[in-house]
Amino acid sequence: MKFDRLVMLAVVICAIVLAGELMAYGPNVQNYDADAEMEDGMLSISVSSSGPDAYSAIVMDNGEYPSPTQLYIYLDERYGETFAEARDAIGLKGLDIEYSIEQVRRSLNVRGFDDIVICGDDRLLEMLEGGAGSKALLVMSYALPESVYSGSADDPIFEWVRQGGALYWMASPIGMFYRGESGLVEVKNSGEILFGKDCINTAGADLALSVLDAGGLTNALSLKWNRVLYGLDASGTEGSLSMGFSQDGYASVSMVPFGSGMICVFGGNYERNQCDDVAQVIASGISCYSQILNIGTGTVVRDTAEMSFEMPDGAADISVYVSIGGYYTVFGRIIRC
Amino acid sequence: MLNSISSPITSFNSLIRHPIFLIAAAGIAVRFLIIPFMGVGYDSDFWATIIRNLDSGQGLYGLEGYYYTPVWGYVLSFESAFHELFSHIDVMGLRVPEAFPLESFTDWFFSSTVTSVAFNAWVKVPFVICDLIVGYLIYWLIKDKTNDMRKATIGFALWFLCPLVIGVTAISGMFDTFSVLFILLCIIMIRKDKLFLGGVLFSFAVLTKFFPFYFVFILIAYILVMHRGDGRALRSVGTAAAGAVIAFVVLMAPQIAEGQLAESLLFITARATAGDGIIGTEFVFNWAVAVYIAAAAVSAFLAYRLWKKGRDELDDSFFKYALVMTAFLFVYPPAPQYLVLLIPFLAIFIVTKDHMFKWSWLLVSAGGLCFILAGNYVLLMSLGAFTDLMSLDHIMEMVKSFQTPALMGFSPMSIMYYVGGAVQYLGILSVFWYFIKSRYIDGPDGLGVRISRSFSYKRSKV
Repeated sequence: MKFDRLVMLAVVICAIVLAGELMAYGPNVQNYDADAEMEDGMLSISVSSSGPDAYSAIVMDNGEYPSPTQLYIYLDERYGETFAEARDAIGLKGLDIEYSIEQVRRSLNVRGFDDIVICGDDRLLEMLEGGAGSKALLVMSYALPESVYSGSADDPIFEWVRQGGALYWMASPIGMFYRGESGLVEVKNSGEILFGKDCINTAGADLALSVLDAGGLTNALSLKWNRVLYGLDASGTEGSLSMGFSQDGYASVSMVPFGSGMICVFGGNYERNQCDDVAQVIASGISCYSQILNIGTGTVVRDTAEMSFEMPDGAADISVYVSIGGYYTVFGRIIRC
Repeated sequence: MLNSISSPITSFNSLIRHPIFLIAAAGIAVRFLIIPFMGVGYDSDFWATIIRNLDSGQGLYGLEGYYYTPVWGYVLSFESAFHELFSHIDVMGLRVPEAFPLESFTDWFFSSTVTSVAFNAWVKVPFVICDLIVGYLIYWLIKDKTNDMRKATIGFALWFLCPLVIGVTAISGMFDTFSVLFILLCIIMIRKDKLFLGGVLFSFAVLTKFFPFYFVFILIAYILVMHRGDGRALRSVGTAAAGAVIAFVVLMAPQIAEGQLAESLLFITARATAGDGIIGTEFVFNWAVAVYIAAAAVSAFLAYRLWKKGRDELDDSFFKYALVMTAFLFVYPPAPQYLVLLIPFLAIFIVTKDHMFKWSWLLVSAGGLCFILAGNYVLLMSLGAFTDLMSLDHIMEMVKSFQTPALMGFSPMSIMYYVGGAVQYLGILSVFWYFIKSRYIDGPDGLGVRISRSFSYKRSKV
C-alpha cells in the first residue's frame, strides 16, 4: 500500500484532537492536593500540584463562628413570573436561575464544598425553622417568598441569621422584594430595615475602580469581579469586612455581623467571574468574625510546597483555606485543624 | 543563494534554497515577534478560563466559559496537558486594576483581565503550526492542479503572509484557521477519493466553526460527478456520510452523554435566537439567519451546477463555486476572523484562474487587519502588565486618546473599526463583482450575447 503523507497528516491531526477529547473527559491527569497539620503550636501546610501553579493559603481563626459546612441555595421557582416587575422597578438584569445555581454549585465543588442543598419555598422555610447550626444560605433571586420575608428584619430568614446563620446574597438588592399571594411587593428602604441605614447601592455606579486590600484577602482569594451595583457600603458598621473592589464607598464583597450571624452581599449582576468570587468566599469559610492569622502565597511546579506558621496562644478554631491556580482557580480546600 | 521560484523541491537542500523557505521563515518570524506582546485580552481570558475548567475536572461545558462546538476545546485540552507536563507558566493571567477603566467603554469587548506574555506565546504556538500546514495544503492543491511551482509558491505566500491571517492568529489568537485546516484536508481527501476520512474531516471542520457546513452540497456533488458512470456514486456519498456521522458522534459523545448538547451548539443557535439576556430564547427573524438560510440555498444551487459538469471541468468548477459560496456566507458582515475561510479559495483562484481577484484579497486582508488593529493600545495590555517595555499608564492614556472624538464626532478607534469593516466588506463584494465582470462584461461576447446564449441553451433543451 502506498504511503500517503497527506492522509497521515490528516490522521495525526485528528488523533491529536481526539487525544484532547480523552484528556478533557477521560481520567483526570491533573492532580491537586492540600493538607495542614497542627503540632506544638506550629501549623504546617503542604500544597501539591501536578502542573505549574500559583497558590495561596489563608490561615484564620474563626473563633466562635465556625465556617459553614452546609450550603442551601434558594431556587426561586417563580423567578420568571414576576421578573418583569422587578426589571421595570430597578432595571434588574435577568438570569437563568437554574443554570446560575448550577454554576455556583460546580464552582463550589471545585473548591471542595460539596454539601449543597438546592431548596424551593417549602424546604427553605423548613431549613430556617430548623435552626442555624453551621448552615449557610445563598440567595440569587431578587425576591423571597412571603413565608420567610415580608419586609421586616424580624421575619424568619433574618431571625435565622440572628441565631448564627450565614446569609449570602447576590445579583439583586438584598431585601428589596418579596413575593406574596398577589405578586411582587417592593420593600422601600430595605437598607434601613436591615442595617439601620441607607447603604444598598440600588442605582449608583456599577464599575469599581479601587482595590480593597482587606489585609491581603482580595489578593489571596484572587477576587476579580469589580462590580458594586447592589453592593453594600458597610463603612462605619462595627465588625464588618469589605473585600474585593470599591466605588463610592460600596464594595464588591461586604460581610456584616447580624445578631450572632452574618450577612454577606456580593455586588454586581451575575457573571462567571462573580460566580468564582462567590465560590471562593463561601468555600474559604471567611466571615466578618474571622481573624486572619497568616497568608502564604507561592508557586508550586509539579511538586509539593511546604510552609509553616507559628500559631498564637488561644487560637480557638483554626482553619486553612488553600486555593491553587490564582485567578484561574483549579482547586480549593478548607482544612479545619 | 536562492533557487528560482519555479525550481522543484526534491530535497531538504533544495527546500532551504527555494523562495518558499524564505517566505515561511518570514511568516514565522513576524508571527513570533507579535505573538507574546499583542493579544485580545477579552478572548485570551476565555482560553485561560477553558483550560482552568478542564484542569478542574469540569469538562468543556460544566463551568461557563466555552461557547463553541467542541473541537477547539479539545485542542486546548491537548495543549493543557503539555502545559501540565512541561511548562512553567504559573500565572496565566491577572486582573489589572490600572486597566479597570477599560471596562467603562461598554461598546467594546474590553477586559482588564490580562493574560501573561508566556501564556500568550504558549497558547498561540499551535496557530503558527496550523497556519504553516494550511499554507502547505494550499501549495499542494495548486501544485496538484497546475504542476507549477511558481504558482504554488505564490499561493502559499498569499496565505502565509496574508496580513489578515497573521492578525487573526498572532494578534487576535482566534482559532478559525483550524476550521480552514480541516475543510482543506477534507477537500483534499475527497479529491483523493479517501471518502471516509473526508467525511470525518468534514465533521471536524464543522465542529470547529460551523461555516464549513455549507460545503456539504458541493462536496456531495463533487463525489457524485467523480463517480458518475462507475456505479459507485451513491455508495461513495454513503461512505463519506458515514465518516461524517461517526466523527460527529465521537466528537459530541461527551456532550450527548452529559446532556450538554445545547451548550455545545450555542455558537450556532445563538445566531438564530434573540431576546433579553438568557431568559429570552425565542426564535426571531434577523439578517444573519436570513443570509445563512440564503447561503444554504446558494450552496445547493451551486452544487446542482457542479453536478451538471463533466469530470474534466469538475475540479476547476468546484474551487470556483467554493469561492462564490464562501464569499456569500459573509454577505452578512463578518468578524474578521471568519474571513480566513475565504483566503485559501481566493489564493487558489488568483493563481490558477484570474489574478484580478488579488484586489479582493488585498481589500479583505487590509480591511480585516485594520479592524483587528482598531483595538489599538488595548492589544498591548500584556506588554504593559507583564514587562517593563511599556507602562500601563501610557497604554491607558493612549487608549483614552483613541476613544476621544477626533473627526465629526468619531473617535480614532471608531474610525478604524468602520473603515476596516467597510474595506473588508468591499473585498467580499468585489468577489461577486469580478465574477460578474468576467462573465458578463469582459467575456468573449459581452453582456447581451451571453444572455441570449443562455436562452438558446434553454430552448435547445426544451
